[in-house]
Amino acid sequence: MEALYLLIPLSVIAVFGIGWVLWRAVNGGQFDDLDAPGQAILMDDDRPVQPPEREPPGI
Amino acid sequence: MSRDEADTCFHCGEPNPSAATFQQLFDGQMRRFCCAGCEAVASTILAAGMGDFYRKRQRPSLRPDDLVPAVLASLEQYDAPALADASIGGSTTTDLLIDGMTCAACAWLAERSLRRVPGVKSVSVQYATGRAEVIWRQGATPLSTLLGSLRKVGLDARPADSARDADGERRRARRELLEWLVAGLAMMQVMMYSIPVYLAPPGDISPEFDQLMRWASLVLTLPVILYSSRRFFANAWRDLRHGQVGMDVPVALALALTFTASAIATVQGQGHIYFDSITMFVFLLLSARYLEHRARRRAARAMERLAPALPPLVEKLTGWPEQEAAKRIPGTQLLAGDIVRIPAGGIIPADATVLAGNGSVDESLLTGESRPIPRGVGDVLLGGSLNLGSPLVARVDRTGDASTLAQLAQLARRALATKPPASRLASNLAAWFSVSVLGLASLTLLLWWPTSPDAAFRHAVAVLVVTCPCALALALPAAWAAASGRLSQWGLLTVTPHALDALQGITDVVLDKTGTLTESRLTLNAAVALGTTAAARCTALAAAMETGSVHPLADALRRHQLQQDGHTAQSERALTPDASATHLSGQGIEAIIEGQRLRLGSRHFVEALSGPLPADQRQALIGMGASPTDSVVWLGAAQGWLAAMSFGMTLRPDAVRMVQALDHTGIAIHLLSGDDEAVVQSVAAMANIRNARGNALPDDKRAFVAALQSSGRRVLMVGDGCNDAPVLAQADAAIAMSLDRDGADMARAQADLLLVSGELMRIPQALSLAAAARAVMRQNLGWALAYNLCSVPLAMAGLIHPWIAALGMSASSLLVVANAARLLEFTPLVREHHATTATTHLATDSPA
Repeated sequence: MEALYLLIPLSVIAVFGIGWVLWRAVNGGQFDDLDAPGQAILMDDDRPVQPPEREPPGI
Repeated sequence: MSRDEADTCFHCGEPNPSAATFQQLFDGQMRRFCCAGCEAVASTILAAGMGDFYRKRQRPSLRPDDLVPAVLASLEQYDAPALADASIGGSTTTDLLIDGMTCAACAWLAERSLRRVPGVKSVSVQYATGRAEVIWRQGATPLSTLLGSLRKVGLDARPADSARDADGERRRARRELLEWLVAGLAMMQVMMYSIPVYLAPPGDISPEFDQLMRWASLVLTLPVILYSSRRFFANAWRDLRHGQVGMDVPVALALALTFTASAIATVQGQGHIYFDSITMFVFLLLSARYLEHRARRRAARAMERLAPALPPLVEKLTGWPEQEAAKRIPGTQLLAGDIVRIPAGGIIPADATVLAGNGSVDESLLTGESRPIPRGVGDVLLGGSLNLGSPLVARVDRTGDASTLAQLAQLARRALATKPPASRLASNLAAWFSVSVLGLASLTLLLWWPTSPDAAFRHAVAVLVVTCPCALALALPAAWAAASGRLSQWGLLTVTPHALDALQGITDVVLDKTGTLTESRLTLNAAVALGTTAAARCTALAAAMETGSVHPLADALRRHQLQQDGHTAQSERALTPDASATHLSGQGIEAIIEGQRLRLGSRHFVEALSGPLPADQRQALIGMGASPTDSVVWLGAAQGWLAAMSFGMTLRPDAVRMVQALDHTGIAIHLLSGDDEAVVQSVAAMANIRNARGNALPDDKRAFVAALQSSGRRVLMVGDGCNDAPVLAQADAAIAMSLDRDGADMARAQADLLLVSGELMRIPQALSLAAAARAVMRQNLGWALAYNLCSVPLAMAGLIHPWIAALGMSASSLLVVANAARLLEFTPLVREHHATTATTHLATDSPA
């Protein structure tokens, strides 16, 4: 049970650590816009660049 | 690609004129464009390697304005030092409002385009709000280059006026979020230390571990008290200094006393601690506040997007009439006596007198008159109205506070000051509650003091804890947050904090103009050929004559033409005027098409060209323009009369249903409009509204509402437009509609709610939601009072164990929140009646 002497203070430190991470994230603007980044991923240009732009006929 | 697409513009989706030769190669196919503007935009997009835009977009783009260098040059005015923001550390943050974004792909396009501009460090575009935040080096790149880069890909951008304000707004939003997160985090961890103590049999946890966990809880509750809940303390202090007692006072009191008692218990190693209750209470309060504020911020941003009432830049003519040279200056620098040129389609910057030019203006924002009003030399123009016809030169008479627009704003402020106060239920309860809790706690202390001072202190704390203001403090905000969440799902944004209170017990709904009930655009109802030329050909000719005009009739003709194009021969579309059309104020247009001199406009105007209307044709015209809402426009050539066209207003699809739903709940509906009496009566008859009045001036409307109020009615005003600002302010509750972009932000500033979805049915639904929210608030308050009435005597008698007090405090908070959450799923029961069979058209749709 002596482990609790270590674990309880550790848990307090962990909470403050998480609090600091949240502070960084909020002030970094990660929570400013909750909609656009979700749409932005769909707009990524993930087509291969090299081949000439050509679509199969009939489309 | 389907064959249809080859016939429509690849960029904007409008039909291509057959003669047009604008084309670009894309994805191995030749794509055709309707005009040079679309082609230029597309070639910019393709050349920049952003062709993905066309693959990913879900909707066709808007047709761009002409890309003439003059338009781009006009953007340079934004580089004027007066308009530039202060820069910090070499880089500037600028908020841009972007118009013309039709889908998420446009946001991507805007972001990519801005990133390519040298000197731009970071860009984030929000599609939902139509805003872009750009961080850039102002020295390296002028603002006009940023705006120009968007203009080149067909997006219209302007700097947001309140960049600094937006910055403060963002900081506030972040701070609130962080306060909430800290409280949540602390709550979870403190609960981890408390649960074992509650669950373990007595003596199972050794005292030193118990003490360690108490200290850990204390350390974690400190940030909640000092950081997350400082706003409650600040507000309570402000209230006390002003001699008021708001809801924050009992909250701050309970937090401070409970925390102090728990901290003393921790230091002394004996007595009960309430850290878990404190953190949970703060977390729940902040959750409600965060949700409510988020909904309000969204409303505020939506309002900011609306077009400004006055143009930011005006063309000042310094040497007129000798010289035509114009200088662009910010509208705020305009002085009385200045000569300005107002372009066609431009907003009139100040009250002015016409010196040259003939045109017509749309004053609907200011007077409620929806028809264009002719204005010639010597006539007075009202600032904020729209110039529909040809360019005008005018002398500025009044600016700033003296202008009509500013006087309307003053009227609105006066009305707001005399508005009956919103219900003060919550704050009255709070005052009563705080006083009685403090009294009871003191009484407990006094009664127990002779027995034992220690027990007296313990029982007094138990009274304070058990009479938790949680249920009381949460009862209203939780219901507000849930209800405004539901409203914003419906497209109704709450603007003022107590919008829901305002909607309580509404007995009368006043619609402020016919435009609230009708589609904002005119439609071509019928076209009758008067000569040998077919009616379809006549409308095509008329549409061609109106090319480039911003007149409402021109818009109706163009839309009619687009519909027709599906079944019209190719040749009908290639019509363009040979020379630019001449607008004659209040009369019509003259143009030459395929060598034929044509006139479109009033009967008198066409008669001057085509001669008197042949008597045998009059038969065909019976019934035309019979309804006062219809306007009849004539088309004639030198050789004879061609056609008569009738344009009419159409009721919005849900207008009749809304009226029925309101009727059903016993709410009286009034239509009070600045429009012509006959038009108002006709629209009212179509929508089954019994009380209707036309020709109402802004002050008449205000007086009408005030009269209703003085007879004990509660009035909900639904309106838009600047002229409505005073009456919106006077009414008990106000909903502003944002149907178009031609908005008047002033009117919206007076509104409690903003209807962005344009669905009228949401109005009766919002009223029943407000009633449901009221019921939830009553239940919550009733529960809080019942709970306190039971627990206080027990606590005073010293019969409540501290942990039961803590549990009761938390459980009552949760119960209240859960009850409020029911509002999130609220679905109003609106009886449909025979609504579906009601006809919504004002005039018969006789085919052309």
